[in-house]
Amino acid sequence: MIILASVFYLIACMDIATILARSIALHPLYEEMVPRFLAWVVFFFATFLGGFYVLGDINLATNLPVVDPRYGSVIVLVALVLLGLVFRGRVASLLSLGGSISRGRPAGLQGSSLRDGLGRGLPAVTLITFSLIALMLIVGFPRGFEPQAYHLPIGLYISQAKSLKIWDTAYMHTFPANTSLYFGFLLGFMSEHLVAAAGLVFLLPLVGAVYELGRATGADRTASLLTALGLVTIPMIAFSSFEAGPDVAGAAFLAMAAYFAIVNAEKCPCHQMLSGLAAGLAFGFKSLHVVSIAFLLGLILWRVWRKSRGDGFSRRVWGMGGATVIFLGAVLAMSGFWLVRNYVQLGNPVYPVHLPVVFDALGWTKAPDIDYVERGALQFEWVRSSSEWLVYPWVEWHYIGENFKHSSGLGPFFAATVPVSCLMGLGGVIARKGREWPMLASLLSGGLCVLLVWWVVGDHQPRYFMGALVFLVPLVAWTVSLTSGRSRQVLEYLVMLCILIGLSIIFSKQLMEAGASFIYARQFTRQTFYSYPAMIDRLPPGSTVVNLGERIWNYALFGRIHHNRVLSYSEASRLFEQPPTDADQASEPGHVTFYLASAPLSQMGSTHVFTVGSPNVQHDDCILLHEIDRLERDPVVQTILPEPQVLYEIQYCQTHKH
Amino acid sequence: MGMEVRMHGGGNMRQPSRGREAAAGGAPLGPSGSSSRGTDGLGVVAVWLSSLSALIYFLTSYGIKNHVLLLVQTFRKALGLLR
Repeated sequence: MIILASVFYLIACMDIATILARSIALHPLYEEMVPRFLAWVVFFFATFLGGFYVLGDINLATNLPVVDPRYGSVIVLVALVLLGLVFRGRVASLLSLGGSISRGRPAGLQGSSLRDGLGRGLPAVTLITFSLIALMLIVGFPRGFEPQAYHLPIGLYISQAKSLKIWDTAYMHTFPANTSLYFGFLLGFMSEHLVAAAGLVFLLPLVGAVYELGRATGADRTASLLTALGLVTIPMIAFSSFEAGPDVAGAAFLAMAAYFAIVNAEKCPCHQMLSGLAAGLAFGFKSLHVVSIAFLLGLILWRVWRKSRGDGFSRRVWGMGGATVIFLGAVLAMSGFWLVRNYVQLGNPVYPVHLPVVFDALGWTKAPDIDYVERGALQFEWVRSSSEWLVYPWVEWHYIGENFKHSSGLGPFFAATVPVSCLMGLGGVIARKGREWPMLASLLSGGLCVLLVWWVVGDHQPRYFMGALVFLVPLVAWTVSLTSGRSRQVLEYLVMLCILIGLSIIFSKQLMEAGASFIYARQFTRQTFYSYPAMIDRLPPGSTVVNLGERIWNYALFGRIHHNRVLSYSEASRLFEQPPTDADQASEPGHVTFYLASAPLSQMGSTHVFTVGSPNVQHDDCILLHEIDRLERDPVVQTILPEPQVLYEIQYCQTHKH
Repeated sequence: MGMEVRMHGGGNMRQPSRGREAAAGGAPLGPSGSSSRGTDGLGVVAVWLSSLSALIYFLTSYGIKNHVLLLVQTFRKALGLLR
């Protein structure tokens, strides 16, 4: 039933997206295939996630467990009927083959000037590389620290509780959760193996949007295509797409928002709306894109103001007001649920963000578990001093040598082209070069705005400036287009070389990981892949496991068919961890003590406890912990694990027996 | 504002920019070069700077160095296991 409902939900969302994308296709922009595809993607995800937001609002208001694809199907069915009423008699033609999303002329590879030798093969090489990586991912299971710690567990919690309320109040679990909705929905009806590669989907709109942003600078197709291909060889972007995380999806929707804001946003309200929808979706994946959203609003207003310079003052203000309402209305339609949820549940719509004076005056709460001062020190994972960020693209230092991963490394394409393109672009703006300089100024300002806020906020992790890449990388297309003759030839070959080296880095790293996981360690089952006690997969349905291990075990503990419930490590620590005494600190620094009280454990329906290492677990007299499984050696290669894992069954005394 | 998003392909979108893509869908443009914007001076600067930047990257990046080391180590380990 749930599978049928999920498939119906997806098909209905696709139909709605097709109808909406076709309905705005009168604008000449949508004669091209890529803009049509981008518009379709925005409408699809706006419908797909929007259905859940409606259910989430009902859940928030009534406490009814309604966040479920079955109820979602009802929502999209109603939306389809409403669309039928709006487009009376036109729905069939909008959905027909002649009106399919692929009707427009392909603007990507066709007509590309990458026609000789190496150049002609480059898009194919990129596609093959990522396809092979997808195959390697599909052999395994969803990966990534944060996905396993909370994005996927929250997705499964939403499915189990049928609620979009906050899983637990640890600050990282309170962010907007589009990622959890997307991956949780997929986990509900398809194999975990396929879900492991589902993050790659977002590369397509990201590439399309960056290609179009490149074209918007006046660059030709070859230059734009090279730029879009170069973007996916940036290690931070490529490796993020291999994980079930939010970074690439956030960047993709931000790129689409930027594209619709930059391309004629002042001429058609539909572009302002599409930009707003995409921006709201980007916020739901990665809330730090709020900086870029504010920038895009400013950009749209500036363009509307300039466009109407012949009009009277009041007319210009009305124009700007209209644009603001359309853009922000669309942003709020896609992000409002998260703001309302956090305000209702935590007393601060943008929790855990807190601006001291303003938020104190408004009475908005401050997260007790986030220390912004301490977070400033996190940068020393990537640099040895703050000034080293200025040369990071050429140095790519990492404190334990993990230079290329989802959060590290910009790669050869970026180092060779983006800083130079920024300089050239700045020159173009200062010289007011050609008709493109306002476009260059928009992209440069967007990128610099994100980098500036990233610098000022002080949490200097490279992936937090991913939003800047969306604005700055398209400048490469413009720079490549500056050249001609032999210069052009040299630059194109240089860019292609960097792309090929970037691809080989990404592919070889994935190959090594796959070799280690599947050929050497034979981690073909979920239990061996995540390495946890086998009994986790055999617990009775409805079991609730208290995670006293680490955050990363949250996802594994749900079991093979996700039938367990999990009390997250952060919530368990908050409830049961004892502050260390001075004697503890002196004798065993860093050793953790948990005190398990039977009343809260029983109240939460806890049935099992999972530990890693040898924490000191104490409990009251109404509990007995009975060890039912232990993992001390790697299940396949039989090496001794650094920290043994133990699974206990909780036996309650008569008072708390269920 | 003096900016116009040009349309590409078929004349309904962006117009080719000052001779670039003069043969959109026709003559080859890419590596053999034809993007004539009369801005080759700037283009040459861009090529030199990009080449220099790439050279510095390949000489100084810990990422490249560590990745090559990792590849060699893995290859040796794999050979050892095969033996």
